[in-house]
Amino acid sequence: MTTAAAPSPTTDELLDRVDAALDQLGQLVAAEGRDDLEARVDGARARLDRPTTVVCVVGEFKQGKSSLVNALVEADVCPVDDDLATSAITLVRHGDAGRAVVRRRVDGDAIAENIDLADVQRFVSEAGNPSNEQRVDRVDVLVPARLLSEGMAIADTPGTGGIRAGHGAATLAFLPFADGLIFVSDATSELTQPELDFLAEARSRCPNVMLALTKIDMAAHWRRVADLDRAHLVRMGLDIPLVAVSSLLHRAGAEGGIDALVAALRERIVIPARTGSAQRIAGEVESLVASLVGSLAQRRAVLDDSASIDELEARVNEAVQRIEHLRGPGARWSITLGDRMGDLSNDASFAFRGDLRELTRTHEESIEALKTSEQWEQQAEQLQRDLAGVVTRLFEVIETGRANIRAELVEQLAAEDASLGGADGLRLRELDVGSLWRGKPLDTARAAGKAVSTGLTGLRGAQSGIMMFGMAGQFLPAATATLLVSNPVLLAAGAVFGGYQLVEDRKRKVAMRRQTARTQLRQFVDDVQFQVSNDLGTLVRSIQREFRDEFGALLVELQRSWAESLQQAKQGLTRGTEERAGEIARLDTLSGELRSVHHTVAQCVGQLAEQVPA
Amino acid sequence: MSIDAAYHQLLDVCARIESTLPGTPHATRAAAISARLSGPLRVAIAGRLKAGKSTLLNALVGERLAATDAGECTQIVTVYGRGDVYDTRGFGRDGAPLPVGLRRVGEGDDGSWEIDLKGANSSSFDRIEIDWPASVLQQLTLVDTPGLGSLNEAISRRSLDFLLAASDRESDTSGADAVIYLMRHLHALDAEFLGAFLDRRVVGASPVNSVAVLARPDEIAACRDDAMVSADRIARRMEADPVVSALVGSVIPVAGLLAETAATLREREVAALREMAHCSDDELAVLLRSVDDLCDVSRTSLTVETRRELLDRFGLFGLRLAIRAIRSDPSMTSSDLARWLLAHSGLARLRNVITTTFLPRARTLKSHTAVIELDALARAFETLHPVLAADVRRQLERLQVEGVDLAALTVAHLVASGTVALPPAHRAEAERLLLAPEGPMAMVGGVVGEPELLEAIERWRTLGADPRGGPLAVQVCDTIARVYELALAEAG
Ligand SMILES: Nc1nc2c(ncn2[C@@H]2O[C@H](COP(=O)(O)OP(=O)(O)OP(=O)(O)O)[C@@H](O)[C@H]2O)c(=O)[nH]1
Ligand SMILES: Nc1nc2c(ncn2[C@@H]2O[C@H](COP(=O)(O)OP(=O)(O)OP(=O)(O)O)[C@@H](O)[C@H]2O)c(=O)[nH]1
Ligand SMILES: [Mg+2]
Ligand SMILES: [Mg+2]
Repeated sequence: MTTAAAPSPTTDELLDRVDAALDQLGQLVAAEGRDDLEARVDGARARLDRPTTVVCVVGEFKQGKSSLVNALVEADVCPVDDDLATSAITLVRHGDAGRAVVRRRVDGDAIAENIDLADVQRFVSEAGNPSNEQRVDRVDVLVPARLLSEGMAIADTPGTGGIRAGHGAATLAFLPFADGLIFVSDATSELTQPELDFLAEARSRCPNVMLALTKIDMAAHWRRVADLDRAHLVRMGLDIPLVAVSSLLHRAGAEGGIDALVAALRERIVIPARTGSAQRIAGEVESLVASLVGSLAQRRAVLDDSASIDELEARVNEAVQRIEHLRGPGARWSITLGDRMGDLSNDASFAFRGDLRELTRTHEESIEALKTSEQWEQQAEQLQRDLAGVVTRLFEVIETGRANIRAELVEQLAAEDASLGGADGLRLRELDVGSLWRGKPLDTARAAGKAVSTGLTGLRGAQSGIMMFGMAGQFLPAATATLLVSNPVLLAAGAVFGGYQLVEDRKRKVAMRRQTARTQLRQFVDDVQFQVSNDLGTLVRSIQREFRDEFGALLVELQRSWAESLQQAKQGLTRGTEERAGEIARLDTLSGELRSVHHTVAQCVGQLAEQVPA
Repeated sequence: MSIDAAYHQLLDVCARIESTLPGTPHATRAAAISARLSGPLRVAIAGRLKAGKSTLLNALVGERLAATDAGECTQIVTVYGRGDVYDTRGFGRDGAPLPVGLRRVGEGDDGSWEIDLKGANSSSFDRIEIDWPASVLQQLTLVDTPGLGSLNEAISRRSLDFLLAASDRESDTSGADAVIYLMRHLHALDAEFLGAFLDRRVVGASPVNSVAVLARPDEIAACRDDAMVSADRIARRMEADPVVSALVGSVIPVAGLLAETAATLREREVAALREMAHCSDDELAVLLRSVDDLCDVSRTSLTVETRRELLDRFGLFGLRLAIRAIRSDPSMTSSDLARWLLAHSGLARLRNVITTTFLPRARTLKSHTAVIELDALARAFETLHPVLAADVRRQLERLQVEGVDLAALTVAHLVASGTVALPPAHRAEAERLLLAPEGPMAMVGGVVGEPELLEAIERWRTLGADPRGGPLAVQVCDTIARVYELALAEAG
């Protein structure tokens, strides 16, 4: 307990201080002519100010999901209609000029095309793309908006009737990768049992689930419905906040509760993500400062004692040569990378095929045991969830593998590094180069300490999660209709009128329908296997490429650090004594400033860690 | 055999069971079936929770008899029938009477009605029957059912019990002859769900005897002024969906709340509306912008309570509509306004479907229900009196074969629901014939000449002989051929 302590700074203030320190660091390295390091600091700053987070907006159809997304981003980006509207997933992200990218399948191949904002509705709405016949995985819409400028991406999803089938199942599968979920239910009636079941399942996969009660401008009894809904949530033991909103009023410039929702999103998702970024950036700042200070010390040493230049030159040459080797294809890490990615790809697809076989087997058995048509509906729903689960597991394997491979590469490079420049060299281990769009490392900082039961939380925000979401969102809903139609037990009501001679006929028909159902099941699973395996190959190749690029760039940076410290030391030698003294003083000041930046960052991050609720 | 003959035979079957098994529950059940046969057509109002079923029932009856609420409300199947004075009867799960009362809430002509369960738990009731002297109930018995998809499964179960086939039910509650199915929205996928739902549960629900209502249409289109136009477009889209058209004859948007309020409009409410209509354009724009603005303490001379009541009774859309009407024609009387609101509610179209498609075939529909119920009853006393059971069954089978109207109805279900798929030309012909409200005989009678009839008989016989069709298709073709044969016999 401290007495009479100054009011402790708020999270926002601490984050601002970290940001200011990074700003200063950027200027310092820029003044030293290190544009490569400046770019890295800028990158870190971007991750601090705009950590990429993903929030899904889901709910039964026509509850006002797209209108809510539009209200949150203050722009009419998602098509809204009285009748069916959204037919494909739309990911709304920040971008200065409004533009959009559609990702869809043409003859089984995934393609991406740039489109005009005005054309978005041709791909994501029922009117333009009924039942997603154009096989759109997702459309990325980039628009400028305050909430988005803090890094949040908002996914608008198609409404579903059976909320846990189709897109519901896809969303549930994606949740381990997402940062938050806004469940939308309008205020004209209370939550139904399927909605509550979905919320319970969602809450067990994602800590940040919120309920948006929409259309309160027109629902005469919205307060009553809000109370009923809260009571249902309490009864089910669900800790989910309810926010009452009117997207309509908000868009008309009146208070519609949207500001409160935005505040909640910031507080629960953006701020923790920024804090997490700050914590990871602190390590990066430490290594960057250490390396710079080390190189300044070498320059200073040469200024002090010109004889030491030869020793330095020898060390630098050796280092540059070794790094040259590391950058080449024969380097150990590069071979390891190739091997490990190959293994990962094989292991993952082997496990995936095994899971699918097992799934097919259990479901075929259930088809034989079906007694009533309700059971088939339940089974079709279960099938979609099982399948979504299998696909999630696959991506989980990939993500875990990716993290392990990365750790191994860092370890190998660090070992090489140690023999290079000791503690002065860049310590790769500390680097945080991740971002959603460039293969984010496992984000343990944010998942830590949160009570989530699936053990999948480590994957939050991974790029492949989004990829899986689009994919599952494309094939699961298409399956629903086919599966329901193939109902092996359902015989039309007419049979009841037919009399007793029809019993035999009925039996024959049921057997026939069972056969059809089994065929449909296999067909569906085969399609999924084909599509997912295809995408798996693409994903593994892209991970490999990312690693090569990431570590390659770091090695270039390292090489440059060495080369420049030698060059500058040599330049220093051409100066007169007085100039040298001035330069030594400048280098000392610079070192001090760099250390102070590091100190500030470390201190703020320490305080941030204290503020994170246990 | 004409439908009237079949109808009388069914009454005879009931009487025989009653006299052969006196004093047994079977006799009571037979008496109930008989009473239903001679009573009005029984129409159930079904749908998901909070679809507005009770509100629509009130609108049809013209009195706020059924309780309505924003929270889950109807918990007991309630049968509203004709009576010179009002009367209420409760029945327990075992069929034994349970005391219930009906009491008025609110003063004067101001109120609605509330059922008094006399302290009993709602779960102990099988159903409640209410007699009420309303003219619609002369022709129709209306049944309010608890919402499907309730959080409390037992409550939805009661509706299903009621709507299920007699053969699948344990209690002797009678099912319905026709269904008004309320839905609030329909996605392509939901059509599948609905299809599966109606198909297996409401026996005999097909375009012949069921109609869908697009409920709470004002809310679907965000309470905009053009809401009903938009709802109409959606209803037409649903109607065109093959899954929906296999289940219901039409989809009609009906703003139940508006219709209920129009049917029970009070002077006091009209006065309050007039006062509100006096506000300036700007004031009104703010006042009617949202429900919170409307109930804001600082607005208009009306009390907050009055404004809240108006909102409950009209909804935001209804209020905007009513105010607009009064402002455009200040000389409007209360009954003018009521008529105007009613016209906007879409209720007339629903009434029209009832009178043009349900009522003309009432006797056929009722007989049809009775056949199913008697069949189940015969199975119930099979061990007690096997001879009677076999006899009743035989008679029922014969009725279904010989009673051409009855047979045609069965076949109409099969064709209209798509259970039996016919070649397109045949299907169109079959539907024209079978779905004619006056019955198939009226449709063929006198319209075509002898050669055409002979040709038609031949055509349907040939189609029926095709072994690929299966027994149901044979039944369809035979029945239609027989309709033509009878027409030929009558012509000759
Ligand atoms: N009055 C009012 N209407 C709203 C509000 N939000 C949405 N709506 C209306 O509700 C309807 C559906 O809105 P959408 O945003 O398309 O709903 P959705 O959930 O995205 O629909 P699907 O994608 O088809 O499932 C439209 O008629 C909107 O105008 C609101 O806040 N107030
Ligand atoms: N805006 C609007 N509200 C309606 C309409 N019909 C019913 N409501 C409101 O919807 C709510 C539910 O109406 P009910 O008639 O009780 O619905 P229900 O289907 O009988 O409900 P349960 O018996 O609980 O399943 C009430 O608050 C009604 O005022 C309508 O056409 N428009
Ligand atoms: Mg939408
Ligand atoms: Mg009700």
